Amino acid sequence: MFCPTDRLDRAPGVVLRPMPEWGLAYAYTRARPALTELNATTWLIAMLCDGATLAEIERDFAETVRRVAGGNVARDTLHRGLALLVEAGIVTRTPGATQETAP
Amino acid sequence: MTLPPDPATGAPWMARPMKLTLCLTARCPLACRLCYAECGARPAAEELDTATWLRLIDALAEAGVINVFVEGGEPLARADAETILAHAAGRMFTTLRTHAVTIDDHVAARLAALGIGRVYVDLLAADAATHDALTATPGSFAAATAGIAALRRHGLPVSILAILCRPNAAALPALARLAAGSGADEFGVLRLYPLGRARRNWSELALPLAEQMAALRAVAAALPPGLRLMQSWHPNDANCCWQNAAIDPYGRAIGCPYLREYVDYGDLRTTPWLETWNHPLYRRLRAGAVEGHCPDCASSQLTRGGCRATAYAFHGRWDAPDPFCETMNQGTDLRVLPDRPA
Repeated sequence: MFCPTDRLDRAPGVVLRPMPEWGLAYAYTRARPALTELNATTWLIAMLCDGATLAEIERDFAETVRRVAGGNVARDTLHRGLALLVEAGIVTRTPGATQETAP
Repeated sequence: MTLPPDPATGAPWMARPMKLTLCLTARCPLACRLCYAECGARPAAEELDTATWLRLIDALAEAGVINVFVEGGEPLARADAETILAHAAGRMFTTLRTHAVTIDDHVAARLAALGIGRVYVDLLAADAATHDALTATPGSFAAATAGIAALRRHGLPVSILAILCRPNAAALPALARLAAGSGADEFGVLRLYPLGRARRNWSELALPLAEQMAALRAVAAALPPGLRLMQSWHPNDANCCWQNAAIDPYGRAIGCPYLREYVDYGDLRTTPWLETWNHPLYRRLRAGAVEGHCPDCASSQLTRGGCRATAYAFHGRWDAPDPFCETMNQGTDLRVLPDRPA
């Protein structure tokens, strides 16, 4: 589960290799040696993870896919993609500051 | 993934290579009867030195290579093998093919620490007598199986590779069981390629296509649970030229390890990598213009006509079909390799 203030960034040392001929990209994660194939959607999500907050990424992703997906679908797709990328060690999540609870 | 362009356009599909084989050395402690590299045929001093390999790896990473398969000879026969592997693993997914005869717990621990993604180990038979006869090296079976055990103890994923030939065909199911029992998760059955000592020993090693396919069916039917089978025949007889790149121990760009005796796209000590990638013959082979092809193999491999090295060795033409495919064989007796200059 992600929070809007979480910051998401590509993990240190991850190498992304776009393969425009195939409409996909590969990600090499040295820390846990693996080569992961990213489809075009997951590739886009990985590119958006440049230290931005989840809220910013949600906005940019929704804008990019607005012609093929509505807001809810875009948000679900983004969160599934982020979960895969974090699980694979391609993207790291830095928890954002939690909001103070009103007394 | 999109489909490749029609080869009639003459245009290669990929703009830049993404995977590569480094044939690091022609040195090897074994003397396999089916060796493709003629190990020991040229002085080791002619091989690329450490600094040149490291420079080439940097250039390849810069050009977009993200997946490298390191083989030999026996790569670990080079004193600087771990230096080169570490340099590669820092930049691209790095896998290693080895006979494993020099791998103990210390070596396995270092390979794991370097970040090697997978180790491919050649085992030529399920018993010591047959394996050692094929490697012409007594004790090599025991050393290899000990090496595999060490690799698994240190958590490295292992694939076992077997080159199908007359002496081991009947034992493939037993070899698959040995692979599973050793902790490997993949068993690769590879065809015999017309290179090196395998080429010279062809008539005693090669089987008719029907017997090769029967051996494959037997191992597929008896595959232990949890073991993946990888094989290089129909419908997988890939014409990999469209995506392959390779460098021999002397720094020559050869496109594919199986083309090492047939092509020379340039000397990478003096020629920029992408210039060799655009060599006219390399572009032609990558375009996939082959006379006839198997629809099943093309649809599964996105390629046409099967292996170019094999097609050339049997037919003497780059646009000939690969006879190791049941559809494209057209009566070619695979036991008889034409006496053709390499």
